[in-house]
Amino acid sequence: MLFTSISFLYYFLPIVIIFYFIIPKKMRNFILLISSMVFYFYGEPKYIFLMLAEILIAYIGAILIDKYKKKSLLIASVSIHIGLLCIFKYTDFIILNINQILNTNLSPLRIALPIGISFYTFQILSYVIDVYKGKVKVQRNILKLATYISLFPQLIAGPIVRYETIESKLDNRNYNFENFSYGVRRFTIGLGKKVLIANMLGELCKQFTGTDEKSIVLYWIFAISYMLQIYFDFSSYSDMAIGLGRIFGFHFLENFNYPYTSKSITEFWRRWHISLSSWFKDYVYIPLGGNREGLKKQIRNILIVWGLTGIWHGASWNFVIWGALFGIILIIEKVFLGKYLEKLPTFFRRIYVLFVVMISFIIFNAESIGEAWKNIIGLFGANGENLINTYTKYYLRSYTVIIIAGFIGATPLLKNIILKLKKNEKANNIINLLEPLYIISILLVVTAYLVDNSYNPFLYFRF
Amino acid sequence: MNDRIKDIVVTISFLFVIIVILIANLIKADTEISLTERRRLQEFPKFSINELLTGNFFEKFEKYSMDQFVRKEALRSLKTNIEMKVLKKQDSNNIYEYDQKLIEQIYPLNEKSIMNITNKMNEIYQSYLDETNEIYYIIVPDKNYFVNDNHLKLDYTKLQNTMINNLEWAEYINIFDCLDLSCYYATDSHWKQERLQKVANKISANMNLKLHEDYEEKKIVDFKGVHSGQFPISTETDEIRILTNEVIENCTVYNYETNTTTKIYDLGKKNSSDKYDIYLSGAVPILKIENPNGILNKELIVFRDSYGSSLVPLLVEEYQNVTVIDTRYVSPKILDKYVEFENKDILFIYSTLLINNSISLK
Repeated sequence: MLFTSISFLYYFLPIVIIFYFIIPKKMRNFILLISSMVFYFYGEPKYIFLMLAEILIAYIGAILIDKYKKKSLLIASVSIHIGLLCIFKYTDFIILNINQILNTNLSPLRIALPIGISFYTFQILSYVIDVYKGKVKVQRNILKLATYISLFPQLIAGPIVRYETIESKLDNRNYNFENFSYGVRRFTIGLGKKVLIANMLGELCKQFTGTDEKSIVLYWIFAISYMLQIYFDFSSYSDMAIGLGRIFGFHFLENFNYPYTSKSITEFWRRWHISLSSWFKDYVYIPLGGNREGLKKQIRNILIVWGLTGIWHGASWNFVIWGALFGIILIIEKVFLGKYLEKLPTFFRRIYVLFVVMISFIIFNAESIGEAWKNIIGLFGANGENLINTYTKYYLRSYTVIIIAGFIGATPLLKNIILKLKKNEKANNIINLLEPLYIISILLVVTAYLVDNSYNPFLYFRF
Repeated sequence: MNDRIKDIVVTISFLFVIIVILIANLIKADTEISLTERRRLQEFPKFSINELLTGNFFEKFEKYSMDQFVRKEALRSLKTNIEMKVLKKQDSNNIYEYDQKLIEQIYPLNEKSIMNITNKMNEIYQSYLDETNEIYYIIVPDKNYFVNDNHLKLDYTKLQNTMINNLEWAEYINIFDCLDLSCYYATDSHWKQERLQKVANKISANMNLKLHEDYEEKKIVDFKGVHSGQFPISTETDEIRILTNEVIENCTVYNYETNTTTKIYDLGKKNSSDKYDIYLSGAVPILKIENPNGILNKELIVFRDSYGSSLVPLLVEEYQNVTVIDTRYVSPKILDKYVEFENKDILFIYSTLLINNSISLK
């Protein structure tokens, strides 16, 4: 089920909220669990059994790990979950590569990717590893563990919520108007970002991929629009997840922090998909030795982490290249570029980050390496297209407002203005008066777009 | 408003909206057909374990939840208003407003489709036609052709040249200069019959027909065309008007599919969802117009799309019989069971809409 669907907004969500708040507190985890199962079953009926099996394995695995404190049990448990992820996500990729390398003709198994498997697998791994390390207590109540793993706000597209983040909240959550209202605001802003900006930019990108009438300017419009689309698409999902979490009393950590204002790629990855990069840092990079064992090993560790980050995003070479590209740039920044970057004016540092990220997302989006290359060299006129044509002008006119809104929304400009204004009591009162109005307005406008069956994919559902 | 009151107001307003809409959706009676969208709406899906496990139930429920949403039309208008007035998009659902007309932006030129339609026409020529036939064709431009602004337009010259180059056995009658935007409905893609006399005259001149122009123009019904549903903020309305005279009144129309006989103007369609169907009963595979005032044995066969429905009545005067065929609904392979082609005039009437999207032709 998509958050940006009528079925979620006007059937699932109100029903869950009503039941959740009318029953006694001790029953609320159960309601959340049932709701999460229905939520997952709605989008992925068959694979709910896979998720239930993984929950059971994680539950038993963690209890055994806690009891015997044996590394072999941890390895076994981690291997099972990673193995299942690999089977469902990478089998066909491996088969296709074997066919290419060994010139064989093995048939792909065409296994459908279970929605959210990459996210909930990483949550399970963080839990069993943290139990082994003694960072968290083992959860002996399987319903509570299942509630954590399957919690519908973050089940299918993150953020990757670690058990330690919500361990205490599984037992005791506070409910008040402040939390609920904050949750509503985050959720509604997320809805607006997704439906009114990301989806529209997606339509523009679709116009680019669907036409033979490309121009140099159109390549740039596409590259910038896709970069904005993926940010608004993914960060909006995190906003909605964080907002929903707050409505039900959970406090999820932030997943994005205006990444396009970064002044280096190192900083960018501290601001983009924070839950994933911190997961890899804590569960791969640091256990490998991090930066404690000399530069050579640090470079090795960075390359491993970024190779894994790339392949986590999808079973395709362009994701591997995308991850490797970031790994290499991070190494270059660490070894020598970083100190030169610091001397540059902020404007140039941001241009550098945006350019690298834009190129990386062209690779990320492409169906093949060849397509990525074509779209990159197209930015510089190397495909022989004109600078601009009628088609480009038309779509530029049609999407100027959205692109500008995207630019502004990707920076903390509005947030900073509001925070500044809120320091003044009168301005604060006016902003407070307007808040319910803009929230309901966004909700209704989003609804208008949804009932008209607009273009509504979620890019991160394929991961 | 202080922060605490604001939090209470936000919480209550949000809950109010989603719960009230939930209740409204639950108690609202389902609508079977959307007149503005001209389609059957999704009904509540039938439940079965198989439908549930395959995901079909939820897929249908998703469509149902959108189709049967309360105040859907108002929300669709809201969306179009935002797209056009706030976001300043150049079109909404590929429709835009120009000179008080709703215009569908047909783009880009689909060369494969043009080749497809010329191949289909060539097959008809090779299967049924020979030197005993006088063969003509016209291309009806869509409204986008007449717009002079920055919208995307087909390469109409290329479209016409491709047709001409691939249909050497027929004479092309160019009617583009007989039309302007006022010849089309404001809310529909079709042309107005009452504005087609110039077109009919040009065709008759090329086909050596003698037409009298003594028509009586009658308003039949108010009309909101297909674009008004696609662009729900337009306030434009149209009228279906017919041109009639004694010759047309005396004609009868035989429908091979339903085995029924009607008149050229099927006034029974006044209450149908598409009132343009008044002309020759709308989408019908094969019709035969019998004209008791026509010249003995002078016969015309028309291959057409929906644009032909309103034009053909203006061409019947001299013909004793006019057979009207729409190969979107009947395969050309079986035409010899119903139609004899020898010594008959042949006229193909196809719009750029169909030519550029000819996949529906059999």
